[in-house]
Amino acid sequence: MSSFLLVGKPNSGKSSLFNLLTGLNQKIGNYAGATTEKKSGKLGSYQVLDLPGLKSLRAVSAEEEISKREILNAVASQTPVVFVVNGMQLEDNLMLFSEIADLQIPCLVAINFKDDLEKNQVEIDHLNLKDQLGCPVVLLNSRNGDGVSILKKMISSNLFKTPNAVCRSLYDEIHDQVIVNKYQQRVADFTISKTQLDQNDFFKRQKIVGSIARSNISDLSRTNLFLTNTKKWDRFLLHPFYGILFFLITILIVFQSVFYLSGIPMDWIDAFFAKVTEWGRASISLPWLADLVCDGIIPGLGGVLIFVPQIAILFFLLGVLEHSGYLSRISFISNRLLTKFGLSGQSVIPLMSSWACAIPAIMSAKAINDPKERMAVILASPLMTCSARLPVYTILIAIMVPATDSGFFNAQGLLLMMLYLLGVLATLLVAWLVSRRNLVPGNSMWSLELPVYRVPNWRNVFYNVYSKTKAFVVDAGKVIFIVSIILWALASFSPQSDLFIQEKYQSALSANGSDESEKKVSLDAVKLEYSYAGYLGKTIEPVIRPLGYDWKIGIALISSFAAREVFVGSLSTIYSVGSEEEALIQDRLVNEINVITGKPRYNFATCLSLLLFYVFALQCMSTVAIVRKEVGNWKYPIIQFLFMLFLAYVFALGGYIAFS
Amino acid sequence: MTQIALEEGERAIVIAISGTMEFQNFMLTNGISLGSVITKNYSPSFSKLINFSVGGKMLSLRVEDFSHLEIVKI
Repeated sequence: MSSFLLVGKPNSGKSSLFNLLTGLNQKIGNYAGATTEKKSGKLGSYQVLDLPGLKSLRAVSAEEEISKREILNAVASQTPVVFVVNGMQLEDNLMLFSEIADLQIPCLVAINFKDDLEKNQVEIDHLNLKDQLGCPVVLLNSRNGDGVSILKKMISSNLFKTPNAVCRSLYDEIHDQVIVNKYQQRVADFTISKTQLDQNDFFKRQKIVGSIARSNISDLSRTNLFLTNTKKWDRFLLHPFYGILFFLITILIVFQSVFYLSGIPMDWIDAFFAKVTEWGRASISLPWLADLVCDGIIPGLGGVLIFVPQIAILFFLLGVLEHSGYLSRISFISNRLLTKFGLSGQSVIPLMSSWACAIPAIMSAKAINDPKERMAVILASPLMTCSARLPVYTILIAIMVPATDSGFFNAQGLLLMMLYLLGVLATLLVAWLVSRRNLVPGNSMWSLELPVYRVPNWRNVFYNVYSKTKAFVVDAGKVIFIVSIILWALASFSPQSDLFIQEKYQSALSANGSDESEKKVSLDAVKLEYSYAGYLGKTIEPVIRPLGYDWKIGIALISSFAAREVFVGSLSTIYSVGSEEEALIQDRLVNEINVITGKPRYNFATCLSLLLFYVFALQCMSTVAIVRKEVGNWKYPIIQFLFMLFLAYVFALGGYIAFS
Repeated sequence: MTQIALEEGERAIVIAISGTMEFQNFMLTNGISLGSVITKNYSPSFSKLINFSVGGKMLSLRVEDFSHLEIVKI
């Protein structure tokens, strides 16, 4: 299959164009040997590879290095490039294009944001530009698709053409009376701290590109209306008082919305799984299979999938903040605060991505120039509250704080926000500790580009929500499916004989009375207690008892070391095994009795202790694996795992003692 | 000249870039070179950042990094 690369500077609208070209035919993976997200898709017979945005082939960040490597690989295979240009920054963007043109790869230039050009009454003579660049040029708008069909036709007709070289001749060297060009070699060997950037190259490039840009833009003196409006908004949004107030209100609205808007779809999903369970019991004739499906798999999957609306809403709102241009302002206003913790405004986006998942956050930390800061973000970001914690928090908060019908603002949302803030605080303190340890040498390079404010491109926002929610469901679903089956088996089978269980049941009966409903509960409880899962939970019970947990919670804790969200699925499975009731998992937890005290097991202190445990514990094997991949050894992920487990235990113990 | 003398909305031309080679390379990859025209934007002092426009984009640098740019008001 033929392929082409989508290349461009940051904020050139490259990802919007990628979404338009490929639709839902996208695949998100990783680059070989790296954790940077690799987005590829299909357009007809072409494979499209969306490269991370880069400012120059003289790469600074690890992410830019990956784009550079892919572009250099394309030289040998003559893989064509669609170069995306932000039309409002023609000269700046053509500087990067000129570097690629000198590699002599077949190209096609797509000048994006046609609507911005029209609104600013700026015209680009793309036909003349085509002649000057030496390859086809198309004007388009990746926001509404205007001109994209022309680009598609040009791609399908394979109209890629090798552009005119700009400074390539500067790198000609004579060896044995043969001219050898060293440009590609120089680009490949460039290291920002060791290589003197050729000033001749830069100024010649700037001169030629400047002249091309000037000769093709109708009016250079015209003020960019978007930039002017953005500057006006920035006076408010970057203001030391109003800006920070706006930021806090925005974050409050985000968390309140996660609870407020998700109620109805969560009820639908719950009702759907209740129906599926009902249907499963009625239609599966094999009793063991019916038990496996209805007590193991469905409660396990349903217990997590019910939280998809909340996760999708969180991704949607974070996407709106990002696509509106506001996320970069958060970097700006938080820079000084973060500096005190050894970070900078550059860390905000990876850290806020951690609210979705620590894995993409650790991946996006590659864009941070300073290796020391990058290390701090990698080691601290798993403390930010990821979406996998959300199901755990939601269920425990619902038990701790009764739902109030007081409109948009409610106590549950406030408690959730406090947990998120606790995660942020813990992250900052750990980042501060890591940055003071000088684990890796630092780098002082730092800059922040503030994009203009825009109404978000809804298509992009929805693609983002779709791809990330899908990844959550598929990745979590696989783990939960396997863990549910294992847990069901462990909870359904016992190393003891039936006779032993019957004896225990009889002694429980004589202790509890002879009421029919109690008989049922006692038999189920006895079976679970003497199952493999019961023995496993009891083995760790002495360690977790000081935290207010029993062996059943112990089973869920152990299983959720694979992934946090498994906790809810595991509880669903544990409390479903042997139970005839189709009650909500939340109701089952509320009704669970502590056999020692005779009071509810899930009281305020236990729930708080569990919440604090999940705030700090690194219960995600995928994160551990990604950290190992990023830092290149097992030392730091192991230290990170043990340190976070220690914090989790100490805080959970403190919380339980304080409130029990 | 330092950024202190440059008020919001004022324009200046970069006449020299000091600092390490790494910093100079970094500035070039950000589109800042000798002759670049910059316009200072709203930069609240609490942020310790200087926000300015260059080449049609808005860029922020730390105050101490920005001081490596020798600029002349135009």
